[in-house]
Amino acid sequence: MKRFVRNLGLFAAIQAAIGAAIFSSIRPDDDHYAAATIDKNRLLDEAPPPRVIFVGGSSVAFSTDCPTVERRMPPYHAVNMGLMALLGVEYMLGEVAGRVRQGDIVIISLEYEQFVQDQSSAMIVRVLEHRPANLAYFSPKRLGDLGMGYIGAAVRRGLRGIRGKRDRSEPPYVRSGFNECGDLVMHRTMPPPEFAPPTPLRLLPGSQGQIDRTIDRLNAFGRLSRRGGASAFYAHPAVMQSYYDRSRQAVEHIDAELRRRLGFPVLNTPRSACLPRQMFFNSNYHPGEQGALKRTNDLVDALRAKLGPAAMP
Amino acid sequence: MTFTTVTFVVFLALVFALYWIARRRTLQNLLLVAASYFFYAWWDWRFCFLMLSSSLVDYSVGLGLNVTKGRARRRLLLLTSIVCNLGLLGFFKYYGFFAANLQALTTAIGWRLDELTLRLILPVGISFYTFQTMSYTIDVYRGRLRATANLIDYCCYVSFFPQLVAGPIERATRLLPQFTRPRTFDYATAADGCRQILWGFFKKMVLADNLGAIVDSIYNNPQAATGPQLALATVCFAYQIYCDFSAYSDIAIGTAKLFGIRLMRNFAYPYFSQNLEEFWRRWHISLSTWFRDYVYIPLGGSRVGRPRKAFNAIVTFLLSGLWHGASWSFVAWGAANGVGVLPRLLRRGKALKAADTPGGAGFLPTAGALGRMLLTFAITCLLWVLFRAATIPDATWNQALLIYRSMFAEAFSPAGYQALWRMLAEEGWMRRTLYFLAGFVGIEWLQRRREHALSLDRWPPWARWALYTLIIWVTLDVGTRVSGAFLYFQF
Repeated sequence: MKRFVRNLGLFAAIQAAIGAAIFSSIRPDDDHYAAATIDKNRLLDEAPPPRVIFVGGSSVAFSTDCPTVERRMPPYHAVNMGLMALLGVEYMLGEVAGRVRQGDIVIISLEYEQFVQDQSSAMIVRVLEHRPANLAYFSPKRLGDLGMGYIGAAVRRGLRGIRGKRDRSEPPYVRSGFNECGDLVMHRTMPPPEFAPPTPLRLLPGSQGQIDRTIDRLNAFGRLSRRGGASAFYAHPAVMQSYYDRSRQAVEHIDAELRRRLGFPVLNTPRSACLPRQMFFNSNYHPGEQGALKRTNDLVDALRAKLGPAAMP
Repeated sequence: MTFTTVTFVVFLALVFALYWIARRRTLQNLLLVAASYFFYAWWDWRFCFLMLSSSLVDYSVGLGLNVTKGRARRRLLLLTSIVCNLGLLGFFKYYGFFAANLQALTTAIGWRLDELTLRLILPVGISFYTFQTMSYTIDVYRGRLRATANLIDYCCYVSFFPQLVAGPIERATRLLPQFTRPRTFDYATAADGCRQILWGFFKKMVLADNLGAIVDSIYNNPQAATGPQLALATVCFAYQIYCDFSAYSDIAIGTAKLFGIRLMRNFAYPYFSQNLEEFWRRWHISLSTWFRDYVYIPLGGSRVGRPRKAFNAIVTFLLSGLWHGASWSFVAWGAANGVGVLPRLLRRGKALKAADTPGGAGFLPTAGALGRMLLTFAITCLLWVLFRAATIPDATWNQALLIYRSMFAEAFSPAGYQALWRMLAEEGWMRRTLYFLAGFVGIEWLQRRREHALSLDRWPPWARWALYTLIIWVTLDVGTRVSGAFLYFQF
């Protein structure tokens, strides 16, 4: 046994040394899209209450116009935490949970795919490179179950570093593309590129489980927010009309499940959240300026209607 | 808990350390049971009650069989075990299938039956552990084994975490005595276990998951793919399912070795088989032998006339197909395999066993052996199309037929091959995966006399360590680009 433990320990030490050499070769790009997490987290810590906090993936980053919210809902400060769908729901909610304050409003808007399959990718490694403290937004279970993928992504980043390759993100996917509230705005002055029509949403065999899990997570977040004196709301994402038409069955099923089980209000319907094709920049979930303004105004209207005139300062 | 996760690596290290610190057999077994239930609860803690109830029923039936003499009473006890286990399996696995078919039948004759379907989650590994517990009571009934009175030993046998959710399906006659004996740590066995685990990780993460991505990209839209592309996807699927499932078995067997437990071999280089019957002696050996011993032989086996022998084989394969899943495509796949083994089965002569060297003893196969291997592989691939269709909920017979039609109709189509080359030229990850696959087939051929491909006893230690290091970092680099659950969890 001693020999086995000694050899295993020695072998593990060799692998750890190789790992250290690989990981130390990672060269983070300060203007990378994922580096915006630094600014967003600082904003969340520093913005004074009451606040309207937007939570979600890149659809929230693209489709929200915080200055409009602040103009139409004084004295609320708007904070856009939306970054990437591929960080997963647990991460997005974990980032904000426990940091809400008395009087805050949290609007969560998830890409429909979050209800079909657990979204998680190597992009998490990029976010952690820039702000290792974000590790706290994952549960140990998730880290354990998905950690192998994250280690692999870090290995690939390190190997690229060793080969001298630097990967820069392309505009508008850069940290400097966000405004001071966390909205992605750089694309608003760029010509929209051609892009393929979106793939319609289909429910998969395990989707019901994923829907249930996601709603459970949302409800847990809602309870935590209430305890902190904040109110949570859900909003369906802004998508193209054609996407809705082709994904209607799946999308309406998700909406029905949310209305049946969610412990806080839903501000809109999937149909009312649709926007015409010309209002999108480069994908189904990424509206341009016009789309972001319309989406934000619609949300503010819905929120005011829900809160009532008495609730508005 | 899935094997290819950090969670499992940490869990294994902890259980391994505690197990050998415990030293005493009873403590070790208690730890294994606790660890196994924890391992199972990682998916869903509610599943544990199912496994516990199945274990308790068979444990009690076993004790009852020990003291019961009358034949009728013994039969009744056995029947209780079989009904409970098959009832559990039938409810969770086949209820939806039968309900859907009954609904379709009644609709066809003008009746309407609503609300027949339930939202049931298939408990992971239920097909494996119910078969394992059932074999225990059958063996006790047949007098091949005396039932154990020690509940912890018995629970160890049913729930032993390395093989709990995807086999190998162990027999009590082989596994249970290992839990009733004291175990001593053996360096060579444990080191070989580590090697086998590493090979399993490589097969699953580098090969199975990447091959799966190729298969999905082509099979998900078969109308847009050419015949040669579909043929490539079919070959990739054949190796995806092999690498996936045999990787699970390798990790399971390797993990068990760390605890001083020997599990049965589950795969013996099946794609080097020279006929379909040999293939089934080398593929999922624990299930094939289960069906042989508890279905085929009780039906009369091979000691009957040829028509009856053929009937027995087809029934056995039909049930084996149904075991894989509640779908007509699985039944068809089982039936096709049953028909496929008949030519060899009905001929007299010595059949190759799993322990025999596949493909002949020479460094290279003879032309005849190579031809037979390629033909068998081609037949197996064609049958996998049905299997793959069965694993996709909305895949239809039409889709399987479309794949067959395209593969045959465009077998000599230059445009089809051009599209295939173009796809491979554009997708570097596909080319890389195919290079790995070619290397893997070569390694398997060279190592086909050994239990697993990473048995490298004759290599100097430094060379072995260098190779292990390379495998680890290649697996972390290439094997984490796509991820996927083990395919056999769904069965």
